[in-house]
Amino acid sequence: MTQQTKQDVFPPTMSTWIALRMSDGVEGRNEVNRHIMAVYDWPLRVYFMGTSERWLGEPEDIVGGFFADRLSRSEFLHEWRASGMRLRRWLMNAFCFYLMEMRRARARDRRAGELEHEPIVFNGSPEAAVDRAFRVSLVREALRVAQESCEDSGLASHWNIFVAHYLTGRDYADLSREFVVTPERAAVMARTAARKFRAAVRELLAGDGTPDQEVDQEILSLIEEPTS
Amino acid sequence: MTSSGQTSHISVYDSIGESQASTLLRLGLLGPRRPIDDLADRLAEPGAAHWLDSVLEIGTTASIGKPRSILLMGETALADLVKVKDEGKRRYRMADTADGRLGGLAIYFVAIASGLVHHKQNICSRPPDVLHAALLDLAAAAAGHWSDMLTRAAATARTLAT
Repeated sequence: MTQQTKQDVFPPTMSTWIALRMSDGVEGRNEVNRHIMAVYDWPLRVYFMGTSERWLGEPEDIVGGFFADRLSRSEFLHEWRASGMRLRRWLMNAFCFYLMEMRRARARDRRAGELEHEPIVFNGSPEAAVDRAFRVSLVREALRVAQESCEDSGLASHWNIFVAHYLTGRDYADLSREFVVTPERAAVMARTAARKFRAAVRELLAGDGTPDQEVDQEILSLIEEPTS
Repeated sequence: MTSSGQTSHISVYDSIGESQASTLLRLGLLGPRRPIDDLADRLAEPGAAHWLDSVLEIGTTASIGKPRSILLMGETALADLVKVKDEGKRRYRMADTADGRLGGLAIYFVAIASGLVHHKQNICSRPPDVLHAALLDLAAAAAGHWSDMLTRAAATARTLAT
């Protein structure tokens, strides 16, 4: 294995990356927006599906409209960075305002009537629901990022063994026959890929606004969140 | 399983639910840290193979012969490997820098791995099953021939454990 394959593809922190890319013209902003939509689309859909505003439209349309509206505003992410909030909370709050704006717009169209001044009601804890969805979305995105990193480093087989072991539960003895390596070599390859996955998880949490020294604590709080 | 691109795994990722996400998220944890975790991170850094070579090229190891010959090729008596291992332990305890301690730990584990690979002997007090997991973690981070040797040592440790 070469040294190159051991290097992470990430800059020091994802939040730094966001800041750098935001100041990098339209292309940079588009890249940041793609990242945000990849990670936060699902949590916001879950939030929307738990509110009293389901009547406004289909989740994918509403969340897509929210991203199109807010992410086109140059100050939006600068304000998030200045807020010190986790990005998922910032987006949830902004999305709540967006829903109220949509409701007011519908009221002007006489489709919402007296609902215009009612608060948005959520069935249960919106923060807990968003965190549960964020946990799933974060892991899915980290898998995609880590896979890309492995493939770019010539470690595609390492990644395939990682997926087969950690996601589909196959043991190393079984995998060693398929990949024609010893069981120990299969375990080592999976661990190498797992290091990429760990880096991806931690960078995505940094991108959400978690300080480096609090990433473990953030992971534990997400894991310990009740599943239902 | 294919070795093709990302699309081959997308459906697996999309089927991940909350429970499995929690299990996978645990892989993102760094702590609680063991010394071996710090060594693994050091071995994963760019230039680590050169670093490992350089820490082996002084002291007991160098006095016996060329480190790569001693440790990789099995040309050394078990008693000499024990001396190298003990020097690693001493350096780990006595070093006044973090990098010096990691260097000592690296010598310690490489000597143990060499004993396992070339003499089928566990020259430390760690149980083989514990050693097995530690050697796999180090092999996953190390590069090239050092990774290969650590992997083969883990295989021997598994044999000794059963």
